[in-house]
Amino acid sequence: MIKAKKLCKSYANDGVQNHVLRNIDMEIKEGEFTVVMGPSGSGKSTLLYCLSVMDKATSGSLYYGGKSLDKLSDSEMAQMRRREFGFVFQQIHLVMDLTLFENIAVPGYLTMKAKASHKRANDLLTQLGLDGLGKRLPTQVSGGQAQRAAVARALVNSPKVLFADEPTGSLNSQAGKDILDLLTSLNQEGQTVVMVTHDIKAASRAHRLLYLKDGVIGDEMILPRYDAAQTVGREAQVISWLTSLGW
Amino acid sequence: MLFLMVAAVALFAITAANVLLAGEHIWSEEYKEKDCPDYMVIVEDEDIIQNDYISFFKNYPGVTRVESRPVVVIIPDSNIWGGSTRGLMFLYVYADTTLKQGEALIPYADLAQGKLKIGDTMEILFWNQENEHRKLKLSLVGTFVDPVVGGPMFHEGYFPVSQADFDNIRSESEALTEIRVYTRPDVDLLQLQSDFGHNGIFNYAEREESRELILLVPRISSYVLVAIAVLLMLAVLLALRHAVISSIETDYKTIGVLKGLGFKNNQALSFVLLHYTLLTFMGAVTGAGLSVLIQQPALSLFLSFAGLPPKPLLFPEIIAGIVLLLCVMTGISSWLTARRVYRISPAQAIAQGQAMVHFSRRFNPSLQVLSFLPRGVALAVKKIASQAGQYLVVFMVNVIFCYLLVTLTGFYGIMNEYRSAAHLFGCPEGDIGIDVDSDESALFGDANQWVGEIDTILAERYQPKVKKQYDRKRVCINFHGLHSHILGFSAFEDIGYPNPVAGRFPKYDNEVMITPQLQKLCGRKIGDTIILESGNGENGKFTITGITSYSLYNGRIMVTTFNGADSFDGETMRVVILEEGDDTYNVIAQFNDKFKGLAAAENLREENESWTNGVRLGILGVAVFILVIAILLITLTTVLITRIAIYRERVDMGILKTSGYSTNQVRRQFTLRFLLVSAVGCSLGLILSLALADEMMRAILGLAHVYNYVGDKSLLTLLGPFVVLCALTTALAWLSTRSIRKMGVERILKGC
Repeated sequence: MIKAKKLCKSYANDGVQNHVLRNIDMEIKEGEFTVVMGPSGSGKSTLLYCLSVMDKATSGSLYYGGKSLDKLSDSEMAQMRRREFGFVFQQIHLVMDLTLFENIAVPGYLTMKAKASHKRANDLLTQLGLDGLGKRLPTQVSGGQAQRAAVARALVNSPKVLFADEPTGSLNSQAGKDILDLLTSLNQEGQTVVMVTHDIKAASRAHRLLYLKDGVIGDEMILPRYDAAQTVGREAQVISWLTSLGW
Repeated sequence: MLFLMVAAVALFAITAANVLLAGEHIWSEEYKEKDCPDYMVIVEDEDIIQNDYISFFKNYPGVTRVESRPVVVIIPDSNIWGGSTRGLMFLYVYADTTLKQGEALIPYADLAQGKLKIGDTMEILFWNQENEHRKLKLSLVGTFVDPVVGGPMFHEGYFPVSQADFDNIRSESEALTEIRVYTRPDVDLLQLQSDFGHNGIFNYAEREESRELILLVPRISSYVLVAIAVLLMLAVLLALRHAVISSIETDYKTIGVLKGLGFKNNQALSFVLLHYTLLTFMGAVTGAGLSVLIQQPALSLFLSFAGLPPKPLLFPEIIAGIVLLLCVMTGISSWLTARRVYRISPAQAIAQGQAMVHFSRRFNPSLQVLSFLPRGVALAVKKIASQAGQYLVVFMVNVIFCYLLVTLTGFYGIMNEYRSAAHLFGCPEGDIGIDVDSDESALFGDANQWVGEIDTILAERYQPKVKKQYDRKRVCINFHGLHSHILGFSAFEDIGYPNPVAGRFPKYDNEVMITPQLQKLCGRKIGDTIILESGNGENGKFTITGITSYSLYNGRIMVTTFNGADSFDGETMRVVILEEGDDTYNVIAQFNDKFKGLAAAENLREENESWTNGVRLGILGVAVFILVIAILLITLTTVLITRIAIYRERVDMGILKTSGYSTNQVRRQFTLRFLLVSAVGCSLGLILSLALADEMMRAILGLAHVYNYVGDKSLLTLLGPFVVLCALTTALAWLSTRSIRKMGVERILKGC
């Protein structure tokens, strides 16, 4: 579905080149739940931004559905983010003067009429357990509820791939679990999910784990489809894998 | 930008004060004691009468000084004042011993208004006791300033010539005597005039009136400049508030860290305030410096029309006072806003890293409620409403300047049309004026012959194109001791002029309309009966039927029927209105040929147009000036507020971009807000203008005794400023959002 070939990303800081991603070769398959792990500064978030065309790679190639994304204009990149990809952030990033309902509906304005977008937003509020909270501002709900709204916002345009950058990072354990359950459930309904995380519990929800270190994919692990009954065993497997990589 | 805005406020405020004070200073210090008489009259030069008059004044209680000098009536040639023939308009020459033979001086006001220039030659006509005319060529070598005859009271009336030329003219012509009377301040001048009882050809007791007229232009200019300074100050205070809030948001974490390190609230507040205090002080000082630099051209612009040559006058205490006032006002405003740092919790600031965008929860309309609007507009309306304080300055600037520009274009529209301009200011409504007064016309032949000649010329050479004709009689009148004029019109309702602003046209010969100026001076109202007395002792009773607006003769005008005015001895003019005003020049040329260059008929149209062109150019100048200020202010406020809004909403923009909004869509969303704010602001400005502009203009023009102002309300005058201001604001907002193009999603989400 998404294929990266020799993807590189570097930043210049005061004339010094900082190579964040180095020759990344990877593929995201449709319906997969992929998790990217790695130490701080390893380039996880940058990889996510490059894959979701929020940022352009310095070199290398990126393909989506077989089509090259390397030479997209700003407007074409926006079209991709609008129709194909959804994004969830660690900091939640809801617009503070929009209600939860409006935060969800506004991206929908880009692809559908206002009424349709409003209906879709209401449906998502119900689906994600936020019934009755639509009129509240982000500051008037809990972190978990706000993150649910952020997931709903990411889903409003029915994206093919949902990217999540440490979605549980700023939540308490129960709220974090709820979000993970939500993402898992979405994935089980066919939603492709790509998530960056430090959290072993979060990582254990994935089919495929990629370990990134110093901008290079160091290793990869495949897990069977998630089953809540096997949570403890999956987490042990992940810990063992990470330990072997020097985590 | 704040620096520039504060500098502009200082510039306007100081210039306004300087113009007003310079005008007052020149009047009080240069003229009052030295040159300006308290009473002045021109009488026949018969020794007995003159001596009687002079004795009367010398012996009158409270009179401190009496001066007299001979003057002679002349007619200027037809080539001055833009080629306009003045008809039998009298000008006066008097002797100036500093001039050589063949030299003359012109009033400073005429030079300033570009009517004449140094080096011009002019020919004057005078006539001897046998009514034979003589000619004399004079070269204009300089200017003179006189508070009475060189100013707006009578600025076209005097030409000083050399003693030799004056003696030459006087040896042939009958001379008159100008008497200037100086009194103690406690002398009742109206009583003096009443006791004097002689109206002569011209008389006036007008020191206060001269003062009012001379200071009229500086005053109006100052009021306009002060109004602009106040509006600018308002914009400065609003912009300053947002700049300070923006600074606090920018330095949110730093302030938190400082407080965490033990800084007290006031120390943290000083950290925010210091550079704003310095900025506004520097701005005020720069504005003051600029005002010193431009004071000479500014004084020249605002004082010269009143006949006052600009003098380098500075009032350091005023400059210092305005700079101090500006610093205090901006200081208090910044301090009040910056007190928000008190509320910053160090722990929260360090943890959050950046301040939250401030918005109003009360005015935060739901997008569902706004769903009747297009999606982008609904979102923009919501953002504007919830952050109204941020957009208030742009809104106000648009309201104010749309109001001002619609008002000015409405005024320009009126002045742009010859007849409406003439009506407004009480210029004789017509194209050609023929003086048919028997005494003067006898110099050139029978008055009826002239009128017949007009008919012949029109009939034979130009085809009959006379639209209307009427006779207008003007009489100098004594009304309750006030030197006034009564105008008699032969066909009021036919020409629809002069309009009553209250009451009705006089129907009968003993009815009269008076101006608000006279109403104010004599305290009479509609329905009252008044007694009018001419200089020859003729008198009549008149009933006031209406109030009319007439700015000529300083507003001291009464209007009656032609027969009503004909009961007095005065000057009569036949006024001809042509179907096509463009024919006027040719008809006048025929008359000039016919009467060999003598002034037989006046080109009223050209005179009026020359005058209205001056006013029109003045309005245009003010409109361009205000437009420039509008452009400057709209640029400053739009750019400033756009930058603040972009900074505050940088994370929101990142969110929108992540959600699939392209850079241009985000820019359009920002620009749309400014378009909406501008459109609503301009709409309010337009409504205010429709509701208040005529009243405001009547109040301003009332200073010049114009009370019947109704502005032009065409589509162009109403919508022109609206479109210009909206387009300007929108274009600037679009250009200001260019920085969004450079913002990467990842970086703005991290708050960079």
